Amino acid sequence: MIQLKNVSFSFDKPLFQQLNLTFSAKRIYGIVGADGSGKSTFLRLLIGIYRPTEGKIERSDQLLYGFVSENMGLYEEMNVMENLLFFGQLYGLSKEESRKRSEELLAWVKLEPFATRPAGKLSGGMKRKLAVIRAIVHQPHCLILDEPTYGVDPVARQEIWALIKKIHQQGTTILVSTQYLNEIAYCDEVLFFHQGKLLTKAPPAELMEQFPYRVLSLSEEKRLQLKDLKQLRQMEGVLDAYFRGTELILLCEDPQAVKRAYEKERTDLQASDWIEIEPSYEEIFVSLMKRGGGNLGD
Amino acid sequence: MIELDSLAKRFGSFWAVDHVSLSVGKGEIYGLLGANGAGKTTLIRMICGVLTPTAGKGQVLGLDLRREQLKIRQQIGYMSQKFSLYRDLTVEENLLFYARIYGVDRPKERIASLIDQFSLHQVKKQLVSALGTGVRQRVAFGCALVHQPALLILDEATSGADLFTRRLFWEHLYQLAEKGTTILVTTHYMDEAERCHRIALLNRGKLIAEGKVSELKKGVQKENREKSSLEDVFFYYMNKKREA
Repeated sequence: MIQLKNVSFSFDKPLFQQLNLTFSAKRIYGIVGADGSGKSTFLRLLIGIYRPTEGKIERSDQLLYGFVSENMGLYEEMNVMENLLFFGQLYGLSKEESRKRSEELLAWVKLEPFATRPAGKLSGGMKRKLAVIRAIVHQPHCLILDEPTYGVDPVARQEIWALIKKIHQQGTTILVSTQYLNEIAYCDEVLFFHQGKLLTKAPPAELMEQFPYRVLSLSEEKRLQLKDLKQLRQMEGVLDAYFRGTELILLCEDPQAVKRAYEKERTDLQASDWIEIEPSYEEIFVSLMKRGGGNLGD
Repeated sequence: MIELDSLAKRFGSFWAVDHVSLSVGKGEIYGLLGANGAGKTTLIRMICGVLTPTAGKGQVLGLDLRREQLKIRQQIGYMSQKFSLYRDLTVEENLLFYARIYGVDRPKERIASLIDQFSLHQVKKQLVSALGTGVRQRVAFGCALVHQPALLILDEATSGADLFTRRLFWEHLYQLAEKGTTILVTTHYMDEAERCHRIALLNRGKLIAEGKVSELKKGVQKENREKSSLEDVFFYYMNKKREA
């Protein structure tokens, strides 16, 4: 559906280099990375707001997009229905079609009672939902959402994802960027960006399977201190160590070697104090970043 | 450090905080997790001594929530999402201003140490308005700590910060906690809540679950017979409450 062929892009500095990527129809793609990692630029490149410095982007014929930017761009003085109708007509729907479609979409997100409320007076979560349905009044093949869950509470976040899945079920391809790593689980494929580089593009399950490290958690009774943590980070074969509440999480290549080496430092620790746990997406991201030559910003 | 006994706040006929009891010990990082309107901010405002409870009682740092509000305000550190920095003052001036407000002994020495701790050397002479969000956050953090408070309250202080900024920020928090500072955090991010030593889930003003994240997860796992994320835990308790 969308194909990037040897695409490079520079802004103030070179961002993406020699990207060869394919986006297929009817999948959900998650675009993940911190602020300034290049997520938004990448999305803008895909929909043609920016043009590649080199290479080309091929799109299937008559591909219709819907796009919601991070700040949504709602007309705050217009009411909810007017926002939808206005977009419907921009996209060339007749007044009648436009109204019918708007009513249908309002029902999807249960915003009918707010149809006459100015968009500016909606809650943060409602605004996000309105922005998303407004981008699909013309039934696009591909919907691109730039951080649709940014800054909203957990309940609204869940509702927005329910809406995204519903749109996907109607046969729409979704590209969605996020900073929240747990949202990766909802995607068919994930693209990790860091400091303007694409680190990987793969299905989440594949990332889990191919994760080359082991994750250990130290039992919470053996409270370690920050100085221990820093010492652990310096050890050979340790990729990362950090506190998560009362747990200490350690990323390493060889758990046995680390345990043996650390026992010499802390004689009160036994092998059984460590348990091996499954990696979370945070650990996967950290490992990809370190291998990609990036740093954590510290 | 914080002891709340059936604390409540009513606005008209609406109980924003509906008889909440909890206790937070010295050096503990305690998280309040809830959706918008769950009562987090109202609860925090009572703990800070800026809002008088309708019912119930409580102590903060051994001071009474009703009778000693001013003393409480002087002794805690507070940082919100909005940062409350003076944009047309420099970094150093902001720190000095807060040091004077709180009556810090030898303010110059104190702020020099904060500038060190938060790597603010290069920007100390710059106006706050010229700084990026990440740096501004470190300055606000410094201001909240200028009087070395025994209790630090962070009201969605890191929302909007990205994963890596949050990671660094949390290392500072663990360090403070190790030295005995008690920290109360409100958040609606699961990854942040997971970093607290203990959390409370709030819904419609009520405390609906409390404990270590690992224990809460285990509890829900038993019921659902599936591996549970903190998000699953959150919705499990929210829905359970609705059914009851």
